[in-house]
Amino acid sequence: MTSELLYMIAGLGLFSIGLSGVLIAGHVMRKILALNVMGVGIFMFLIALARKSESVFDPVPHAMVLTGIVIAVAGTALALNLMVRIHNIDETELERTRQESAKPEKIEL
Amino acid sequence: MFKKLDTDYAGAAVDKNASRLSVSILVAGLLVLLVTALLGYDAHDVGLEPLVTQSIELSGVTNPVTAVLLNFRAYDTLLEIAVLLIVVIAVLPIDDRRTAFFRRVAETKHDLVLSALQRWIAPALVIFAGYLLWAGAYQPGGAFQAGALLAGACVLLFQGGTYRINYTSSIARLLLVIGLIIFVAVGLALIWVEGSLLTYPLESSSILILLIEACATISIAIALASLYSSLFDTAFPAVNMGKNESIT
Repeated sequence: MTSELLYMIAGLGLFSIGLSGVLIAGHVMRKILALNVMGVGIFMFLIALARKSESVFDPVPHAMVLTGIVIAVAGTALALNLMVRIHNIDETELERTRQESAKPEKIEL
Repeated sequence: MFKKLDTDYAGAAVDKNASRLSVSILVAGLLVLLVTALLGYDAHDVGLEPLVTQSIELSGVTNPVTAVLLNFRAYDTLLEIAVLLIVVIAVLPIDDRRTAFFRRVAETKHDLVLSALQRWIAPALVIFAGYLLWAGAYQPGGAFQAGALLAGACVLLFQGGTYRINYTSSIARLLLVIGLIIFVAVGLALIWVEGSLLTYPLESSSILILLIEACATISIAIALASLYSSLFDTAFPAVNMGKNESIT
């Protein structure tokens, strides 16, 4: 068993932990964190996959991971921002809008 | 904090333990499946490594990762910078166009450690980012690493609480888009010169890559720092309100 294989299995394990977190977690924040754990697992898997021998490595997965990290950060920032915005919605305002939209309207055909 | 975003708090409709158990079993099954697939797969001889090594002289840089990012698969990087910009556009507020790049916020408590860090670490970070950008041509480094370091310097500045970068000012907007603009402009110019998008001519490829990387570094740094600061501003809007006086 080579060390790359160990890292790949560990990456798959992280992916599974993140996946179950996304499915089980109740809080949105936990779901976002679990998504990040999932992503880290995939990055780890790809980096381990890229290693061919002691000094030879495949640069394409490395470039993919580099791209992926930035996209993951951007996605997390967007998700967190949406989360905070949803939290900041004024609930009484929302309730009033809901009641207004629930009023029966005349529908013209 | 953020209690109402918790679906458990709002009253989960299903049996929690049953759903946990079934999810655990399913994910464990998936993991076993993936590991068996991995053990039966020999990835040693597949990959694009020989191809990259073969054509590294044509790329204008000697670091294979940078060659893949900025030359062989430059489309990916172009689209990545576009994705980052789209996220920033989605997150940043749209007002406040006519403000200064820097602003001074109301004087907060003086923090000795933070101000020392700002004085000593932030300039070093800027220099180190420049080094990483330059080193990316022949060893690990490049636009993303340098951009992340610069963004760290911006966050350090933000933490001090005295000066803030106004990410909605027109200078910041220009810096945010300059990476994508230069990337697209170089790509389009190369259609005219070479006949296809982002195919660098052999003699000027390294300088073009450096130009794109330098502009991308600035855009990435400002984008990441603005994401951080807008998240802070959305979560704690009260901190930022009130006595703001613009400088410069």
